[in-house]
Parts: sequence; structure tokens; C-alpha cells
Amino acid sequence: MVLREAGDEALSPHPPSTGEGPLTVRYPFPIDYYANREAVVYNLDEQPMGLVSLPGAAFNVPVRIDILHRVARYWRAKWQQGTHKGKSRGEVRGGGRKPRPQKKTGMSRQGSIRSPLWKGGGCAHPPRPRSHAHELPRATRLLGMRCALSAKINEGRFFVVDDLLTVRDPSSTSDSSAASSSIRQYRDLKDRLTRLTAGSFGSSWLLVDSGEAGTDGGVRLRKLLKQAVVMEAMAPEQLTVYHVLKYNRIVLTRSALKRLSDMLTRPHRVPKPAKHAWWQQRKQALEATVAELNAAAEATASA
Amino acid sequence: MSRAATSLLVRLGAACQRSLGVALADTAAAPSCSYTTFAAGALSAHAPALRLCSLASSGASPSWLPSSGAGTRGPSGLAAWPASTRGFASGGDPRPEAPEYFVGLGNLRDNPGATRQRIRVGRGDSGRRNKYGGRGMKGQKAHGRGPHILFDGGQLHWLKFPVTRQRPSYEVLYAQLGLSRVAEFVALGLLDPSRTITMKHLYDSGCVTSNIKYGVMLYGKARLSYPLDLQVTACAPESRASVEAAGGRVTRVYYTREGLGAVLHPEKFTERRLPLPLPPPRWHPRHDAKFDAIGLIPPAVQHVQATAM
Repeated sequence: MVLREAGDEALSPHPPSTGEGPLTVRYPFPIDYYANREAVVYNLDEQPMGLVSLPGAAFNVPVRIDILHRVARYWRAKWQQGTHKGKSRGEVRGGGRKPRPQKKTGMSRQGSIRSPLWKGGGCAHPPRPRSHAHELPRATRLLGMRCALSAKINEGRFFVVDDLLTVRDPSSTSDSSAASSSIRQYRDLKDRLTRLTAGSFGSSWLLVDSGEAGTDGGVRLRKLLKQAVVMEAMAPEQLTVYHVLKYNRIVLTRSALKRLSDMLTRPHRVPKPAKHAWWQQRKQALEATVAELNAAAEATASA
Repeated sequence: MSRAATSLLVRLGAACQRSLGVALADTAAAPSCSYTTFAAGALSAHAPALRLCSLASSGASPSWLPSSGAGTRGPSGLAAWPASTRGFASGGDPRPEAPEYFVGLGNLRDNPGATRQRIRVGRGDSGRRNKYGGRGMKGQKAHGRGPHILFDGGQLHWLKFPVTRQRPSYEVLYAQLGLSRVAEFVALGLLDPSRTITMKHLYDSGCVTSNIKYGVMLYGKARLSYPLDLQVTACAPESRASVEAAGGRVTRVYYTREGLGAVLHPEKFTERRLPLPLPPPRWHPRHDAKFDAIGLIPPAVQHVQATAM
């Protein structure tokens, strides 16, 4: 009796995966992987302010559940306190003297009342305080972040906002702050975010601003969210896959999104620095020459 | 970019394909994604009251309603917005081939075979390794560590061991250097093609990275456009052919261990004010086919003339 093929996928709590390749999430709609996408930037009054591009290499990758599992495990192990300790037979108080003579007593031979065999004795292999952190290749961690953000986008839980504390008017220029109001209460922020992210599934928010020194959120935002359970504010450098998956909706500001996409698109290591630098110079020289020729061609074409 | 400039680039045979691709992609009309529209109405038309994501949806229809979600087709003919079917109908939607799951901390798993069961010894009769814990009964191995690895049981006296090691031929011990690496270094400006390139230059410039104990062997083919004068210990026939095709020459020089050390690290002698060792007068006749000249200490460096040899 073959039960496996029938509804195994429907019965399992895990997201469905494509048949081929390692555990990639399968969505019910077709996705053009690695293609660039565009996201609408809203202000907290739910008015669209503009578009921002999401590079495909960072935000449109196949979602690998196994990589997400490994990276989440990596972070959780890193955060483990590791302050567990048990006493061994040498650390338990007492037990220095031989309890009874070796022979002639008719009882088993024992050397100490604190051996692991005895009640009240020490543990044979006690837990020791240690770090549970393990290493994971940097490329895997970056891929995990790309998969997590792509998953959020595919599920419709990814939002871009221009500012988290000020509500600017979309029609005004960036410098004028005439028609802008600021948010001073946590309740106000939560209501606005609820309205902004209304259709998506979930009830917790991860706010990513430009850090504690930034102008869009910052120390003020973190003060507002001090008592909040459903919301958390982070800088893009502090962002982890665990937090992206923990909170249902992710709300980024424009500058945070730019920094994040830079971090995820830039190659994370340069294999041969000297040779790479030389080829970069040569490429720049070539592009400068091409630009000159283009300009000359355009000038002659227009003239 | 204008069409003239694009064709100019193509005719130039732009070395970097990627720059061409990047330049073309920047002017591409729209990314090929189902979510975007660059229509003027995207920003001017006020978005519907409820939206699902910052991504601009492919239609202005209120596609979040679960009833209309299944069959709605956007104006571009692509599938409906994904979360429309998912937002509120996840519990009761009977479509087992496409369940609506969200990736969260609760439903992650690693690939099958990523983890193995831990072996725990001595944990009862239901387990596989109870009582003896895989050690068998009594004996030195059961009670502690066995004998050292070379112990043979103790009863053999005179032994014949098979030959387990062969001394490799001397060519194997030379530092292997590819001709293309030499060409790279000349192009980078780290090696000077106008003068003789000896093993000391190769070592100092970093072309041969490891410690040169026995010599340098040149291998590989490369298409060179300039003459090179190389002095190495051994040379593969194809690299000699490619160097000579460009008008250069390869000299296989003979050095003893001491002489090679004096060539590569003359400071060991000069800092102690000792004279550099003399090169040997000749090599053993068995090496007659392997060398062209006896190497001088310090090596003889000359200006290169383009002579077809």
C-alpha cells in the first residue's frame, strides 16, 4: 500500500518543494528567477512616493529551505549562552578517602564515595561551559539572506517606506518639510503600519532603518518600540535571516534597502586582489575610451 | 547609447561581455517580471485601498478578494497576484497540489542525509550497542587502548616488507611553472622581457611561489608575441617550441643544491662576507641530454635580441 505519493506533500507541514534539486520552495505561480523587480515606495499615509529597483541577484533567487534552516541554526547556536556546568567526581565535595579496605569485607571494592557509580557522586562526563557557535561559509549566509528576502517578496510581505517617523507629502520635493507630520506614539505607528500592510498574512513587523544614527527612524524609533512585542527595529548591518523569518512582515526604508542590496550584490571576496585590481583598471580605461568614442559619435551624428 | 555607438562597441569587440550586457540592460524597457508595470498609471492612479505588497501589481483590480483570486488574470495575461489567494483563504482552500505555506521559523528543514543519528553506547536492551558497547569481551582493546599501530602481534621475528616507497625522478621535484603564468607576469610588468629571466627573477617576482629546492621546470603552451630569454632547469618540449616560435630561447642550466641556494639567496653569503661558491666544472655524463649549460653564480643576465633560434 503506497501512501507516500498520494498526499504526502499536502500532509507535511513544510512548504512544497520542487522535485528536482535541493529543497527549493515551489510557488503556485511562475517566477522568472534572477530578473530585476521594482518595488513601490510608500509613505506612512499609504501614498506611493516612487519606485525602487530590486536587483534580481539579491531579491529574486530560488528559495532554498535547507539553506534557511542552516543559517537559522547558525544564528541560534551563536546566541546560545553555553553557561551549563556539572560537577565531576573531582569537583564534588568530599570523596578523598577510600571508604572501606580493598579486601576481606565481602563488599565491592570502592575508591571514593563520589565516583559516578555512587548516589551523590559526580557526573562521569559533565557538561562544561562552552560556545555552541559553529562556522558557516560567508557565501551560504549571504545566500540565506537572499533566499529569505525573496521568500518575503514572493509571499507579498515585503514593503518599502521612505521614512518611518516622518510622513512626507509625495508631491513636495525632498527638501521641503512643510507638509510633513511626525509620528510620536507607538500606537500611531502601529496603526499606520497595519493599514499599510493590510492584505499580507501575519501580525508582526520587522522595521529596517538606517541604524541608530540615521534620520529615518533611529534612536527615537527604538525608544518608541522599547515596550513593543510585535515590532522590532534593526539596522541593515544587524539584519539576520532569523529575524527576517521570525517577523511576518518586513518594512524597509529607502536607504536601508539600498545598503542591503549593495551588500547582497557586491561579490563577498576577491580571489586574487592584485590581478583583480589590474583588470579593473584596464576595464575602466576601456570604458573611458568607449565613452569618449560614443560622445564623439553622438556629436558627429547630431552635427 | 545610440545605435551607432552600440555597433561601434560590437565592432571593437568589447573585451568585457558583461559591460555590454549591463549597458544594454540599463536601456531595457522593463524587467521580465509579472509584478511590474511601467505604465504611467502606476503612480498617478491612486492605489486601491488595500494592497498586498510594495511591488506594483499587474492590475488595478481588487485582486485580494479570495473569490476573485483564483481566476483573475491581469491585463498582461499573467497569473493573478499570488497572495490574493493566500491572504484569507489558506485554511479552507481545497487545492492539495498548491497549498499556501509561508516560510517561517517553524517549517525549515535540511536536506535528507544532512544529519545522522548519534551513536550512544550502553543504553539498554532496546538499543543496538548495549552492555559491551561494541567492544566485545575482555582484552586490551576492551579495557583501554590497543597496542601501537605498528605492532604486528608479536610472534614474527624476521620480516620481509614490500617496497612501499619509490624515490621519484628529479624532474618531479622541480617547481612546475606554466608558460602562461610567465606571460601573465610579463604583461603585468613584474618580469622584464628585455633581459634574461633567470630563476632568481622568477622567485623574486613571485612567479614561482614556493621555495625552489631543486630547480624550475617549464611546461605548457602559450602564444607569445615577444621574444623571451629564459634560464630554467628543465623545459617541456611544447613550451620550448612556443618560446622559440616567438623568437626567444630557453636554456636549461645546471646548478647544484648549494649553487641554486647561492643564486636565490646570495645574501646568505654576502652578509657574512663569504665568497659565492663556484659552479661545478661539468655534470655527470648521465645528465648529458638534460642540460644545455652550466649555470653561473650569480646568473648571467643579458639583453634580449630578437633572434630566431
